[in-house]
Amino acid sequence: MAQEPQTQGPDIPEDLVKIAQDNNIPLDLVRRALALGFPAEAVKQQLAMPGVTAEAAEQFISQQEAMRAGGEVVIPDDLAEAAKKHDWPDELVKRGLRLGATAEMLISQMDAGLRPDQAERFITQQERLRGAAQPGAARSAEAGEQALDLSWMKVPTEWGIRVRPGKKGLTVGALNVGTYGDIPDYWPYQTEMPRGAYPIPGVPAMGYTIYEKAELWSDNAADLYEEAIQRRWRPATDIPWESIEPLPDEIERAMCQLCTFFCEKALLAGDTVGKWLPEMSYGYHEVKLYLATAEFDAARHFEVFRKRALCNGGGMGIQSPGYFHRAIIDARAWTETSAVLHILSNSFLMGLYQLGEYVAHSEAESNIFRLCIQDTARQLAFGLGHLKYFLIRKHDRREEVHTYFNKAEAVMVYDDENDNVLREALIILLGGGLIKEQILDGYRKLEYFKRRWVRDYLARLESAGLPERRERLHYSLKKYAEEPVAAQAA
Amino acid sequence: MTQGGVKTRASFPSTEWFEAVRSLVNSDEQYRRIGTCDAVVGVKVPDRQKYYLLTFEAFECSEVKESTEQEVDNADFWLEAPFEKWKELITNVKDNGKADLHHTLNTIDLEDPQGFARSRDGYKRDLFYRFNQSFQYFFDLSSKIETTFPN
Amino acid sequence: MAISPDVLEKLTTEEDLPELDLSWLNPQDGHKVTATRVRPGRRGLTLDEVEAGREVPEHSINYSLRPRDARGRDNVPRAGMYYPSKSDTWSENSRLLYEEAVQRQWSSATDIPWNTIEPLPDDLERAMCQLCTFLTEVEFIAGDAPGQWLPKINPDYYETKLFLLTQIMDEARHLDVFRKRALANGGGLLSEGQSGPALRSILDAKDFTEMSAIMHVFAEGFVQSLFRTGEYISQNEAEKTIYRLCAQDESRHLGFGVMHLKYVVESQPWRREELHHYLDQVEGPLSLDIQFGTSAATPFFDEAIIILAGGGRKNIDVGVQRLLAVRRRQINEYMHRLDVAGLPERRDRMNVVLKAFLDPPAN
Repeated sequence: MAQEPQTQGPDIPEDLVKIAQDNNIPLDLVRRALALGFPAEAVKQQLAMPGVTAEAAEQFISQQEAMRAGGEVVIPDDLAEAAKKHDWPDELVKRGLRLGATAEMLISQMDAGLRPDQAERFITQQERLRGAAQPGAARSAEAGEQALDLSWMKVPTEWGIRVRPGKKGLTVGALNVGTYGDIPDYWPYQTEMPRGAYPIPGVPAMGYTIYEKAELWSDNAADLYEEAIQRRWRPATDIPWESIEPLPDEIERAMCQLCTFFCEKALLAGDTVGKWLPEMSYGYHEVKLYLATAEFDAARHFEVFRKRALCNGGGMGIQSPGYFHRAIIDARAWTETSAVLHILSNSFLMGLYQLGEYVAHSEAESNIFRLCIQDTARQLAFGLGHLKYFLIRKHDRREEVHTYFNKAEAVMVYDDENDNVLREALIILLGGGLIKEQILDGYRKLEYFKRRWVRDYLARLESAGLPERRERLHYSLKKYAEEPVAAQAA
Repeated sequence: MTQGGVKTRASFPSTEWFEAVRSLVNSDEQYRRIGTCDAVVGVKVPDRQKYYLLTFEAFECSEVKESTEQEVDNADFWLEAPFEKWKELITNVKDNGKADLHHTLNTIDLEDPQGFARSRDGYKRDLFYRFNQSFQYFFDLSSKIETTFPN
Repeated sequence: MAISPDVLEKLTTEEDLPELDLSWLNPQDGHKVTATRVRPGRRGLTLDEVEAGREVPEHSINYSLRPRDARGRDNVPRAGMYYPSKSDTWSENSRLLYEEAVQRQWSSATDIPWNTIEPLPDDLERAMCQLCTFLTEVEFIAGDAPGQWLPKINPDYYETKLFLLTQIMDEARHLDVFRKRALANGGGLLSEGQSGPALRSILDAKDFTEMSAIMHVFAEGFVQSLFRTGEYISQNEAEKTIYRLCAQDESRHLGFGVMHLKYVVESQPWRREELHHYLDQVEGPLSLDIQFGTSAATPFFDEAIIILAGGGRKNIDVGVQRLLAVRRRQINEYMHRLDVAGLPERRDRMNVVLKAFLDPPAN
């Protein structure tokens, strides 16, 4: 079909020209529809409907033009009947028709249950948008703008921020400039409003319970977040799985037992942190961001240890006694959770990962443990950072922190005493087998490592500002603690 | 590895040796892919009275320099072993292309009752763990250097 | 190198060889360590490969953190109350989506070409910053919501847990990247959005499937369409990259939701009406927004899109038309996903205000 020249009226977008031509609709009709204020998208949609003819379009547009010219809007009988049945006022129906709704569409919406008050709001909105969308001569730019609210453009937030990427790219920490760097001690908003945005009234509370910075903050959170992303790894492809060779049965089973233990720990960490995330108010997004990466760590740790357990003929081992899990699940304050999960539990988990790397039988295992060591070190860093921040600002709650550690250490020791399976697996792995000398060697090495774990745990607590924990350590752990002088030398 | 077709040769311990590894690290895409690493790491070879500071920043090792023991004590953490242990580590890396399972930094650390990685601060010592793959990669890259060990 | 034997002897507190039980080395089920090893395939060693031939139980009474296939112990304290049926939380594509998520992570710090951002006219910069304020706001609800469900998902269906953990990570990155964009080009954050009531409905869900239908299928579906629009109206390569990468992530979340809904519809057909009720609810509050003069989000949001899509305040008419196109796409894609999930009758039951944007069925 030859293209009609575009003469008077608004320009027709090229794609609309094509649709009109494909449907044998004269372009003049299309131009008249656009001049009436119908958006090009809406015209396109109508033209694409099955059964649309030039005659029907002509009739509809003529009606619309007559209405706009001040002509009386006539409500067809069937529409009037439906409107009466559903309590739609005549004026509302006429406004709908003026907007271009067909009688059939309006009847369908009435029958579907659209209430007149709902329809009124919808029609008002459409009229407003239609006013804004009047093209060209039918609407001045100012009139279009007047149809919009635009109050959001004028809110008194800090403007003119231009943060540039540094050596590590554009980091979250770098965004804390000007007022955006003001992190209040108490966050006053119950909504999901980002820090630095302008609040509006009427937004419902989201149900957070932690609004005080000291209850969740760690100064290193933003850096740990970016670090976690940069140092991410992929169990499926970053581990040289093909390097794993068949192992003696007892070694394979012992390694699988260790993996089963780590899988449980990962499930625990994922569930626990997940539970706390919705409790943390939005003003401290750095903490929520970092914890999201810790959640991702938990997923990868479960994945990698399950894969290790299932890939070499062994399989999952026996579940742990589960008592210590409860000490973490049952925590009723974030500081308690973080102290027990991130510092106590992870100190010993870190020790086990180090041990795993020490006894690794393949490049794959060595890599798995080294990568998990890195992830766990970030969690430790967060936990220590939070405890330090908390202790500095909450002098009166130092004793409370000890209470948390008292309980958790006791339960951990009890759990350990009841987990003969894990202990035996570690002895086998460290000794290298089941003969008497190997068992003795494994047992001694385990005792050796326990000293290191306790030493590292205490050194961490000291760095967080809790050096007296050395004296208050659970008596079963105390026997592994070195004398202070020796520990300092180390 | 050759740099400009010439194999890098350096004696350990020396600033030149650490500079050579630093240069390898900073031109290695795989090192960058491990991720950012931010730490000031000391190296102590006490029986040779040699001390160095290695500064890791973002995606590179930004500086290596010879230092004093006192300065190294103020690093985030330091790696300390007698000369013969360092020699064993570096020779093992050279022989295998990277540390074998018995000579990884973690393994060496565990076998020393005082630890290979030491610090005055328990928090900062954990940087040894947080960036372990980067440090391991740093020393593994020394396999590309012809290292000599003075008597 | 080795630990010095002297050290070991000196440090060991008990020299007597301990009594070992070792019965766990000979499991009662007679499971043997075999030489049948799983090797990595083209995608590395994936969960599908290690789980091949292993059954996922239809029901589970595991109330501890015992991983699937691990042997239980007596006297283990319960760790929580979990959904007992596979249908409650399962999605057939969760392993695939999890692996995909791990492979396709990205960094907002270094994977976005931030240096391509050039100063924009004030109206466009403000509109982009308002859109970013809105997006950084809504994205974290999508991180908080999966978090609260994790402790209710049975460890026997760990695949769902893993997938949700990746979603939490994704949403954090989205929050972060939009905040970065707002503060990277001479702008700042603007007004809090008006989407609170709608977002609350996600947090208010009392059932996993309810949450998933509302968040994954409805809300994230709309956001996905929005990300695609964002890419279309982007002013530079940085913005285009941001929206493309976010859309990729959002597709996984949607994929999980659609396939979970499908699994529920197929395995628990008696819940069909219940599912419609959830959709009735969520279409209600969001469509109310529409009635007040906005789309599936808020007036501020709409106006920002109008300005960005029109290329400035002087082209409001073009912007409005494009906004209507976005809205139409959102509704039609939503309906298409419900078709895939096995709820084609939603076409007739959809809230009439949303239905106004619905195209006729393809055939």
